[in-house]
Amino acid sequence: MAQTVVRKTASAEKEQARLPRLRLEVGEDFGKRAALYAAVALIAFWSLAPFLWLVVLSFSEIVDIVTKPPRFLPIPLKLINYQTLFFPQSGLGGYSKIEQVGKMPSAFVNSAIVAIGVSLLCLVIGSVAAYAYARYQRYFFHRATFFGLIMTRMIPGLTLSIPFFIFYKALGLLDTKLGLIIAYSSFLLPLTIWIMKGYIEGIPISLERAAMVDGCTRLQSLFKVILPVCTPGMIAAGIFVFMAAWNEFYFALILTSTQNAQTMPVVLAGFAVHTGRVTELPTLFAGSVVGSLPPLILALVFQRFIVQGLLVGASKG
Amino acid sequence: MAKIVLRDLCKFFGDVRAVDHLNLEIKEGEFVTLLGPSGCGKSTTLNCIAGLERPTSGEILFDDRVVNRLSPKDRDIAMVFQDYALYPHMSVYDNMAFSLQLKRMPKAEIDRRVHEAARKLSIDAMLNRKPMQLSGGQRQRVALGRALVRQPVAFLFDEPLSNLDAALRIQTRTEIKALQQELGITTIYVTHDQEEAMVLSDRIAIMKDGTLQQYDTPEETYSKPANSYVAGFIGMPRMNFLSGRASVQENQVVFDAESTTIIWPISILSDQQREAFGEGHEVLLGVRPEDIQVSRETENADVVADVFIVEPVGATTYLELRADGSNLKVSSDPSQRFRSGERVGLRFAPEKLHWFDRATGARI
Repeated sequence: MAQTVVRKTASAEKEQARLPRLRLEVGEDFGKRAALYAAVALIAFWSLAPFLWLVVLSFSEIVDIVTKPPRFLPIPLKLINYQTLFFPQSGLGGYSKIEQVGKMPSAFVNSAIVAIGVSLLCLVIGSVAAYAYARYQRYFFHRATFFGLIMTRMIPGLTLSIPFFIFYKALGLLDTKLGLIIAYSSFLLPLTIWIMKGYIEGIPISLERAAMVDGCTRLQSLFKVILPVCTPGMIAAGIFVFMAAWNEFYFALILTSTQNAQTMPVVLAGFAVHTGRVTELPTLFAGSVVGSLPPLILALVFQRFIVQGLLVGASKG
Repeated sequence: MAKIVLRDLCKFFGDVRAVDHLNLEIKEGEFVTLLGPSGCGKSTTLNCIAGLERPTSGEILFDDRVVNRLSPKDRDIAMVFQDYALYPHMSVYDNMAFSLQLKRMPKAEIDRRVHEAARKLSIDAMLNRKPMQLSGGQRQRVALGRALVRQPVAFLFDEPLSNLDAALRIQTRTEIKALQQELGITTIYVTHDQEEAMVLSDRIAIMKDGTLQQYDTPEETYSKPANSYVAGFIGMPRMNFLSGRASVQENQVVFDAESTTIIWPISILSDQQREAFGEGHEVLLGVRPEDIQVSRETENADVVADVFIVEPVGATTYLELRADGSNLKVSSDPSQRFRSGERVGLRFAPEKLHWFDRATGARI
């Protein structure tokens, strides 16, 4: 959906550029613009407000939150929650909170290892698979298996959690990072293949033919020409996978139990569950803000590629 | 340089016969064009020669060596594609050097070859740019350069000029011919443009529905087309066709169309033609626009026609005529200044008539 909207706006802009500029229809033009900006502002507010509220809360004490009438901006901003987070011994709060905060560093590392691991695995396998699916669509086997892959996206993850648990118990993968990486890849790999397939289809076949005539084997043409050309698509797909893996909660909750593999979402939820006190919530908010930073920074750095990668994919996918 | 031979080459895609028992011999250093409309199998043939498609049956020989199972990289050929197929992530220099780097050629030699080719194509100022920063014509040159540095056994061109504008196309065409003459490398060139084929080639292979129609020099395909299909394809404007019945009567050849009868002395026919016509034969009479003399004199004319449309192109003026229910195109001297609506008389140059069997289209 999002891609369609972007494309429509682009064509609307073109349309506007073609309008005769001699007749100054300032009123109409201004009206349209105002409506557009209002819509954009509304959408931005809709998406951003919860996050901004979280940021505000992370700088609040519990008193600021429960006070009546409610205070929307705690002035002055309080750093106490972040202090508790990074220097648990210095902060206020009971043993359970300190224990929970103590899990944060390992959870952060676990999340990073799992998310990066899943991203790399999906990109390596996914782009090669996507190449095969993009270039051999005339074969029934390829069409059928691709349909199968996409079908897996239609199955609710919930229904898979028990089978996963039983299998993992038997295989000794419970509470391991490897287990999480495998589980996440199983449902993020089809997504990667789908995004990359659309991207590769947009690359003219003559490019790899030229490479093969120039002296590449098929694999060399894939690695030396096709994949480098696919970099924007790979970055877009990689970030999607990273964010999905970083944010995943349900499987992580079921398949992990200790600091060995628990990820950020699980540990953050633990603040609410294990400490059991509403007064600990602000620490949870601060933790959530910290936890949302890596995907945020990643998206900001690579946003150019995200749009570019998905648009090319969208036009052909 | 290599001699390339196609022996009974077939390529089927499911039920579609893209190339059907094609036999072709391309001499060392020869410039051969595969000519035909889209879907005639010319590009598939080229891809088979390049090794990008595997033939269903038949053999491809480079210098008497069967190369059917060789991968493209082992055939030592260079190919220029319609969309240029430049590697967008590499600079112009790297695009040209890529094949040499894969061969692990010494850096100094790569450098020398790339610069030499770039100078030849006047792209030496652009070696550090990316393909995106170049115009269509410049990209075309880089694609040529990429082929040149290879010094391959053969050049394969797949409609390399169709994405250029008309003026640039003609200019590049001349340059390609000059380069090929200078280097003397065997070249196979695919196009649907008959003029391009005529200008460039030593020999033209005209294809239709995967089969070879005629394989001959441009002059021969023009003056002695093997069938009515070739006759209609080669030459611009197109050859005129009149269908009727030809017969030999008392030392004369009589051509009967619907309401027109044209009589020539029998001497214009070869023995073979005389024998074929005999009592009467359903034929297509082909005559090129430039082989028809048009005048205001209608008395002794072969055909009388009405001028319908006048198309001056400078050196000549083409007239679209209507005679006997069919349309004819003729070229006339601009100084004659024909106007539309005028009645004119046509005389066909008897020694330049083309006779084809109406049923098979074959030349008689």
